[in-house]
Amino acid sequence: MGDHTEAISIDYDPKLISYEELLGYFWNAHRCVRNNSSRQYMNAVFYQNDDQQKAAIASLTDQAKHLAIAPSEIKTVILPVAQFTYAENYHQKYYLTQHSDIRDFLSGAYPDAKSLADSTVATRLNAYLGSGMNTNWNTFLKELPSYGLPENLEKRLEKAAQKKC
Amino acid sequence: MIGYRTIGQEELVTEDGNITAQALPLDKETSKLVYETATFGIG
Repeated sequence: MGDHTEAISIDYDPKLISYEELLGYFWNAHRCVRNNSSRQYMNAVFYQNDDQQKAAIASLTDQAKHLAIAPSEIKTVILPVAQFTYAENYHQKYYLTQHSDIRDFLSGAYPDAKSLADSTVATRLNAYLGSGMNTNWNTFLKELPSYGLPENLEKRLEKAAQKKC
Repeated sequence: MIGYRTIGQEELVTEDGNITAQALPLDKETSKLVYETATFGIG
């Protein structure tokens, strides 16, 4: 897609998690000592402001220390964010594609890619189901009634979660 | 909805800083939060 880079954009509540913590997850989720030659697929932190830039640079330095290498050996790049364009609807919330009943309901509620991507309900269901049901299902069961799902879907998820508790 | 263009059959939408997901009660609540955004490329 031209000079675009595929990226994830995470809207987060800074009262619950910090940008520094998210950077920690990012460094743990990829191999930073090599990068792709293609612009479409590259390891990168795209910062939104000066604070994020400083935090990203500091986290790169910490990662180099952690790996006992020089910062210059890290190939992950730190760049200012440009315009973010949502990928098509079928690229959003991948794990929900394996649960067609849930996906169909959510796609009905949110037919366009942006609203589906922005949905907290879709994001949480995608994360819980994508974990292979190996996450905190007691928390899930407490949250489930607040999602506003149809009764049949809620019951199915409740049963699946109870089996895991 | 701003800055959209079409690839194939679907309009691609550009981030505009707003949460448009409002159909479900939890989404309506969370859309009111003052959130921040982190963006990463994972090749």
